[in-house]
Amino acid sequence: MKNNFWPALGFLSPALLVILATIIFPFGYALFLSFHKWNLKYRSTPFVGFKNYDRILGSDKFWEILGTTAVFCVLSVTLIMVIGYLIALLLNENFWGRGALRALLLVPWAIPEVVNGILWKWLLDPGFGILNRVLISIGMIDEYQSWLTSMPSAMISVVIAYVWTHVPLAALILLAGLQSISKDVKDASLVDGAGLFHRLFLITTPLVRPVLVVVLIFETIFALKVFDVIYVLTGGGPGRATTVLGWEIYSRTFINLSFGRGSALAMLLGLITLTVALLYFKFLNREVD
Amino acid sequence: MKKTMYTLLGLIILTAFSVSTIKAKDLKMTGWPYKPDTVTENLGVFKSQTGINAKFLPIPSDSYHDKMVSDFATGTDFDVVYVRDNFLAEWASAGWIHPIQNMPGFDQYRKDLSQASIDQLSVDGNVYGLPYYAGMMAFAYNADHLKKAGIKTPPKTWSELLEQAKKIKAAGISDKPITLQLKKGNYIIITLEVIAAGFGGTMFDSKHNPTFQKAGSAFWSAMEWTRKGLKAGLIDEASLSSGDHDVVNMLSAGSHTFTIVADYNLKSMNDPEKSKNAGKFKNALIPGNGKTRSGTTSYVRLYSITADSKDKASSWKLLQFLGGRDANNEYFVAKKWALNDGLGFAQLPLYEDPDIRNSLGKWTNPDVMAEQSKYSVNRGYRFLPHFSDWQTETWAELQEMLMGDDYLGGELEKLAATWEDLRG
Repeated sequence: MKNNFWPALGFLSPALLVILATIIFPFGYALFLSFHKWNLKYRSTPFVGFKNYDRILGSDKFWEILGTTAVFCVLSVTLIMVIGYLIALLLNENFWGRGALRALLLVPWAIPEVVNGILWKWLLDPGFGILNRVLISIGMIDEYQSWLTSMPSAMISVVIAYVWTHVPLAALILLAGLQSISKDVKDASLVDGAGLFHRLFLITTPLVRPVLVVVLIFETIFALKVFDVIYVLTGGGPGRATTVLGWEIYSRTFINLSFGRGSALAMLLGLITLTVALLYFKFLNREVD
Repeated sequence: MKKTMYTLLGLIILTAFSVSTIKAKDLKMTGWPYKPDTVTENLGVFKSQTGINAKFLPIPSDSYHDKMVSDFATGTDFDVVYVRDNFLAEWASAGWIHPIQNMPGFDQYRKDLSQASIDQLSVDGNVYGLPYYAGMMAFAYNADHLKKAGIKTPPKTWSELLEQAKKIKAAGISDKPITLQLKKGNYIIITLEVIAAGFGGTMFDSKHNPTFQKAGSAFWSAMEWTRKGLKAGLIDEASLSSGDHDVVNMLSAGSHTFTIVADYNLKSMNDPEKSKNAGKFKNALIPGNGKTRSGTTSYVRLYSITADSKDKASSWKLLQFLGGRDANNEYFVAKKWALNDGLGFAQLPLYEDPDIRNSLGKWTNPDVMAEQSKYSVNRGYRFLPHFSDWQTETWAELQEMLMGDDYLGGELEKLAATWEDLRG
């Protein structure tokens, strides 16, 4: 065992170096910055201990932004999970054109998030956006609406744009989970006379639950740190109506140039994400009977 | 002896080669991407006059400040950069740009620029650049819309502006006749400053103490007026996500009637190649409140030399070519921008140039412009180093106040406290 240590370390070192350079060092450096008053505009960068955290947690603004992040997260993850699962169930059935539909499903996922944001910005444009035109032509609205500058339409628009690009990944992973269920189980349930709802809720869903939990965790993490779509569509506005933690970290760090406070916010976001993931594991990842 | 001679000769050649290599190194310039082809063309002229090669590598406007700050922090390769007045103090205080008042030949520019312009190029008594363009905010309107609505003259007061907008809306000419730049970022605060100027004041007193939070102050009135216009649907709600290009496009498309824009935008609005409604746009004085006839804000964008530039002598030559006089002792670049693109200028001799006088009259009313410039308010507070920190705190708050119904005082008081906190 002892003889194998150094050769093993040698073989692993390229990967370890990459991890060190891209994960451990940036994390450690961000943690270090979060304990300093570190603003690029000022030369002195004094150590301030937990003062950055104290100021963040003591401000109403942070809790308001956390609330907005939670609303965004709950809405988008719920929609992604429900729509993704329904699509996965559909694609798990045999029907003509299933292959083409699976390929088409990948299109929104293949579009970079910023491009997706720009695309939705055009669709929702108050002057020439197609959504306004369609809604006026079918009589649902009387005049063009500015969807991204009023509430709740700004939040709804951001959620829709985000869900559109994230559903395919969820659907694909869930489809892989569904396909791993033995056909015998399905056949046996049919022989036993189980109806559609019984099969879905008492057999299929419990069996696919580990995959559902993984997708849920991934999508929650993605939603908690959302930035791109907010950056392109609303810039956190109107006012602070769509300001989520990801946007606030960017704004604090790169607009205010306060790297200390921005890093502290990033650390808090990391902690929140970790807590949510652990809670999911604790309460949802149980053995299937 | 012969060996020593050869060695010496070799050293001289090597030194000469090194010097020529250093001199031959390209200068790098960055800025926001306004007409990059024209900038590159200008740099070609610079090379033909001086033999110095310079490259323009623009950065998108929205991310210009952020990218440059990270670039400065890690040591920039750029020699010359564009600077906006709202981050001049920040960059100068951080030591990222180089003062130029001791550069050879700078004194001639002191004579060619007004003191107000010199002030706008300076921080703590040091001058940090030469003007790229200068101008002021102007009130633009679609004269055709007014005629169709039976309105004979453009509005003179803010309340008259809302009345006229109501008539235009009622006549079905435009759903939301007023569009403003109220997007988060510099836009919202600049627009509200202009409206406040029309109400007869600024956000701070002469000692930079906040006055905007006081009920009845010019800024307070500007907030109330904008809120009223938004609520009545006379100011387009899309203004909250609109910047300069957006409002120019909206007016050019004919969907809106009134806006407040930087003066040079009138040129493209009246250019048939860029605007469906070219020829219909006029400028009037920015409305006042009855007691105050008008008000506006002016600005200077500048070229600066970076502190990290390794060839400051060549950079100074480039700076002079761009913002000062070229090898023929002419304001070649500033004049070209003014004639071809309608950009304003701060170089006083250009006002006497017959070509420029003739050109301005084609897309704007020079008399109105001249009168408008008299109502420009002083915004010295913008040159305090903490202004940029403070203004980023205001963007979301101001938007929320404009959209809400709450008493303005509470939130404005908080912004005033933040100002004092940052100043302290």
